[in-house]
Amino acid sequence: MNSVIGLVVWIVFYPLIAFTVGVFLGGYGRKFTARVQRRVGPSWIQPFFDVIKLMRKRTNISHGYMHDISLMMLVSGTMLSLYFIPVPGFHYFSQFGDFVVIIYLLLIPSLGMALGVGETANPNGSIGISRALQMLFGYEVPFVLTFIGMAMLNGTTSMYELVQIQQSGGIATWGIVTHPLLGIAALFALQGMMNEKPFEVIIAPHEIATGPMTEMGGKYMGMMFIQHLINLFVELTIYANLFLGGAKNWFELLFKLFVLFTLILSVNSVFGRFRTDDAMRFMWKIPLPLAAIGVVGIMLGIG
Amino acid sequence: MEKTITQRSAWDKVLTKLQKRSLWMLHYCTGCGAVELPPTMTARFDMERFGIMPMVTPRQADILLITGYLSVKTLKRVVLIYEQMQSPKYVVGFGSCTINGGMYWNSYATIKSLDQYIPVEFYLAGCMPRPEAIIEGFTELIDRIGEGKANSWEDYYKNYEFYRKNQEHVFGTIDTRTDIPDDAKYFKIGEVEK
Amino acid sequence: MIADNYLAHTADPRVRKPEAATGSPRIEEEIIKAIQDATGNESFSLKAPRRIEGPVDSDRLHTLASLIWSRVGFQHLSAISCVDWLAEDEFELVYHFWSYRDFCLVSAKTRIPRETASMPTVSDLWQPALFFERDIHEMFGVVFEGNPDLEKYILSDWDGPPPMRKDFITREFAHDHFHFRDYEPDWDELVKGGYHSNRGEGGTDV
Repeated sequence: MNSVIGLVVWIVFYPLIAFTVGVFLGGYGRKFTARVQRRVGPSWIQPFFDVIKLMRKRTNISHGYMHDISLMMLVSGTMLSLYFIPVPGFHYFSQFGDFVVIIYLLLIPSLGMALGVGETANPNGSIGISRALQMLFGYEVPFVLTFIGMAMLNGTTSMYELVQIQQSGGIATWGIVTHPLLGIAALFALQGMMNEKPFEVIIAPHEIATGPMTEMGGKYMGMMFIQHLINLFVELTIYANLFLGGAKNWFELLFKLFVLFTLILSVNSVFGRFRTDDAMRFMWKIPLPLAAIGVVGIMLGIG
Repeated sequence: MEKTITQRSAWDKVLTKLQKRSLWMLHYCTGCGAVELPPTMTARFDMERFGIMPMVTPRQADILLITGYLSVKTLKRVVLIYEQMQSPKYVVGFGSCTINGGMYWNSYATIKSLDQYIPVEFYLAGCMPRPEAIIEGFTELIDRIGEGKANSWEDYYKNYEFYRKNQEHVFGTIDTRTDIPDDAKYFKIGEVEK
Repeated sequence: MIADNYLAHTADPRVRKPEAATGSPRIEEEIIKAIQDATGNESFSLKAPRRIEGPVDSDRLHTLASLIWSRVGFQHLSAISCVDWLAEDEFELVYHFWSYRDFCLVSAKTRIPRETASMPTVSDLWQPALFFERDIHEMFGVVFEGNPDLEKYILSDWDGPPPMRKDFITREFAHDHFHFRDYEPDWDELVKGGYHSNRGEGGTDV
């Protein structure tokens, strides 16, 4: 009975925790970039102010039913993938769902966004979505390959068991140590997955006016912002669970996310933006062969 | 009309305090004033420390910054952009050209007073205003939003006929694809709160 | 000697020096003679080195333009400019033709009456003339016969008289057409109470 109450509490509060962490990570990102550019930068919880501002807009122009429904897909896809990721204290759903479920659920937001943006009929949005789906092929293939590699290496497709294995063996059993090729390939893919520069082709504010978000205003944009912040947490946690050994407690997890995000931001703040074709070429030239070599190595028993 | 402090308005006050920390700005740079914006955004004056960020699409923007003169032809585009923005929205007239025509005061092609065509929250006087003046103006705007006084955008919904008539006088009818009176009714803007 | 100064500054050896600059105005004389032979127009003369100028009747201009166009090298119609001579009730159109081979500018001036201002187009010879003529039509109201597109170019919402004519008083139009702000010495008092619009208080005739 106690566990049921605990489960319900987790289900209710887990998204809130993820959102809070996302807010701080997002604010940290903006502060970090500002400091690199020798500016003071915004507040640490600036994304929170942004969300409040967007949610308090008085008018919200809808472009049709699909525009509204797509936001449901967007947020629910991210929330569902959130539940299937094990974190300290909560791994109920991750016992039932493995990598395949998470890969599948991570695709839903992109598809939802494609549907909604199609309804708004904005050319910038359509270009943005076509780029988003194109980039999906870019980073998803190496990322799935690293998933497969880790599953073969550890003999399990469950993320929870993977975390358990890495936790019991200490640093020597972390994915990044046992198989650095896969870890590096996934790091590149993560950079693309999080839309950070140099793979920021989807947003590209000066080129296609924030792409998919061009027609999103007010509460629509607010929902997308919330999804983006939760997504920050989701993507970073997936990487931490796969390659950085998960975490025993929340302090450890947050520390790992912080370090990982700093690494990604440092690349982000000194790079310009690739063109779409260059980004795709890079993704298929470097992370993909790295991941493929890693998987072949594991198959031959080298890893 | 004095409003008593209720639970709702106290909650409202807190949210307004948070809301004023985030303003996204769309800058319409046809005039020469655009030159003053890069120093305002970058390391020297750093606008982002107030939460003001440049934004590229009207749907997401809160501030519409008109930097300099507007010819009749560009006014048409500004009206289109303004009607695409989501309320609450604040127009900032930047430089003396938007106030009284500036050095184009006897030109046949430029408008002289921007607030006849769209409601302007405040003007930044000068030809052109320095980044200090821009920062000063925006902090003033932030304060006014916090106090709930920045309500110029409601005027467009309440006196739509006036603005529409002035716009049609200079450039004829256009289809802006935005039904302002209908929006006002749907989102309950301009009605007296009880 | 403008030309000499000009060439003294351009020390680039790749720039071919025109013969005019070397002291013999042979090419200019050739061009003037060709114009005389073909059109019987004797009023073209050398104004400055490499600058030929002269008046031409409006009905003979197209013939002259064809001649200049057929001279290899005059591929460039540099500009068509229009001058409003209000006292003489005439428009003056100036066609500038430039030759990249001879380094020579020919300016043909023609006058047309203001009331029935119309000219045959030269866009059949030089394509860019389409835009020059469209612009002059918009700003001065000159009709170019044969130009397929004389739509509004820059002043897309304009319905007044052509604004660059001398008898169009810009200031009066601006004062009649646009709303001017009144002088408000106590503006800072007005804006204190929230949004303040100067609607209805000014001398608007809108």
